[in-house]
Amino acid sequence: MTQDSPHDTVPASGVSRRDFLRTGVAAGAGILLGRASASAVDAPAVLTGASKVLNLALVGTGAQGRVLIDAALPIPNIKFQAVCDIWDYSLRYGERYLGRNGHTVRPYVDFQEMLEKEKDLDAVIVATPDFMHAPHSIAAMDAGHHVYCEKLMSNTIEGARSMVHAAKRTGKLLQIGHQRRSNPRYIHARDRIVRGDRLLGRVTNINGQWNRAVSDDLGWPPRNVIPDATLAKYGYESMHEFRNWRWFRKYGGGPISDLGAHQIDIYNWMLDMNPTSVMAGGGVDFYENHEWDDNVMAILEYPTPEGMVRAFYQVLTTTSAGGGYWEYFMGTEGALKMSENPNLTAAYREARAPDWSPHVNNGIVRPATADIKVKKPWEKPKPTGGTVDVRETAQLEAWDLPVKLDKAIHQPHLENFFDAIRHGTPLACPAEVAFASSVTILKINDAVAAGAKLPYAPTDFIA
Amino acid sequence: MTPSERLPWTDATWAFLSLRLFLALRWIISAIEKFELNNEYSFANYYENMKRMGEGIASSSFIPSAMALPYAYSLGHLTMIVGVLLLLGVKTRWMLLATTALYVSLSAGLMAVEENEGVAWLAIHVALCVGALLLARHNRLALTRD
Repeated sequence: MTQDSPHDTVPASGVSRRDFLRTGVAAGAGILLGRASASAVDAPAVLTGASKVLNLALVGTGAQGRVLIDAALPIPNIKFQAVCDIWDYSLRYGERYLGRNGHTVRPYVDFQEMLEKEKDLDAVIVATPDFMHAPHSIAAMDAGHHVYCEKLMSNTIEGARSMVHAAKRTGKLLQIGHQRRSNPRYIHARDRIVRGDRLLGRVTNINGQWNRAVSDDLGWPPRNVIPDATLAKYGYESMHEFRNWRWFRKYGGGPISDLGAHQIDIYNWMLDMNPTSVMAGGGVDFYENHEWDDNVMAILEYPTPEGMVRAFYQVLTTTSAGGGYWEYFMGTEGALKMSENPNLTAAYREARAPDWSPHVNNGIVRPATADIKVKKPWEKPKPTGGTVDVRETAQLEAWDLPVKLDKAIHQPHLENFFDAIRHGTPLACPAEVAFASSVTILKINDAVAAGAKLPYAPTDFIA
Repeated sequence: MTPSERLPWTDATWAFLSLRLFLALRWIISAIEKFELNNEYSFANYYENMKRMGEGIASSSFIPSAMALPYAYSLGHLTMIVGVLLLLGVKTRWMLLATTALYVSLSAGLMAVEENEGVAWLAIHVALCVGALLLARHNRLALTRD
């Protein structure tokens, strides 16, 4: 995209003074530094208007694609101009839904055809089954477009690696949809609670889960069956596998990838490192017509500079018991239960830990219940209560995080992607980072299959 | 003229004595509590508590330490003296005035740190002092006349 593009022409009201100044500074810096050609990340900031309308295409208008549409629609200065899906039923839905929301889009069944005809795209959003992430993302980048691709990068490590290489080769941005990394509540938790003021002390353990009750396989309206030849052309064995691809090894990575990927990625992100080993167990305990394990339990080891962190994770699709989905970071002085559901989020102070009252004034935590009396610096400390049993420690105090996300959970991650295109803002989850998470997650399936503790080598995480 | 020579025993007399007893005990117990830390009572704990109070107020407001600390260190002693004299009925009106002044000064400290709940709490005490002053002419069982 160059400045000559007609899409650089935006209404004056769409250009804020701040955007104008930011772009001007970026362009000026480029000139002063005498760069003959800007780097991949910097290029968009120099070459495009700060509030330029970004032309988007979406490939995959199924459930996840619709989630991304809803998250993107409130974002200003974007325009969906094409959608692609091999299932006419989803394709028409996406076309009509976007049309009702002011985005007139051209529908395509064939992705290559879309890339050939839609020449003025800025970015492609990929929300197809995992096994198509690499082909779609690489083709889009080769066609000159930035890519936002849903997680998991790929159902194979080689697929994920090829995406990283393509991003480097083409100089295009590749954001992977581990959207918690852009969630302000998660950022607050990591930067202020776990790291900044170290309210948890030394993190010693992590526990996480995503438990769901059993559910029926997805069906389809009889009149919307995709012909076998078409399914075969795009790599699917049957309509049942097309609709329930997450359960089959050919297309996805199973529940540990579909659900666990988000949370285990956050283990790595919060600890700022990758694990060194994993042991896991699991199996097809319930569903008779699925390939992937419906229940998986894993233990990852993170030898942090402060000491070992053992991280447990379970994904159960045979029961919703256990309180839903969350990541629980536990330390010597406190614990932090995180979830995209704010009602499941809380920080807990150990009774032995220093008073958290000063952190209220700093905006880091706030009392969750009236039982917590925020101590004033002039007040005399009150005696702490006794324990019920000599073998247990005192009850933890529950505190709230004062940061709230008042948008769809995917919106900040998409905004970060669009900011990266316009301003060169660093991506929250670039390809090489997501690759490390992909390696972490896919090896859990290997550990289940091996029934053994498997090591990760540091080089495993480098694409 | 002793208080008993002024007016006969009436309901107002009992009302005043109730207020006097309440305010006296409030001060005495408040003073004793200032010597406690971790269930131990000592002068060392008193000075630790008062230092925390003075420095806490100073650090959270515009009030300088040079004012807050002397006030805090003297507060426990003052409240004990006022409380005991009020209980005994020594210079009762003057002690009521001192009581009111102490509550107003404490309120000012909490106003400075925007501790509005505490200010409201102390305002109730100030109101009780005002009531006591209005009823002070009904004072009885006092060691000294006003």
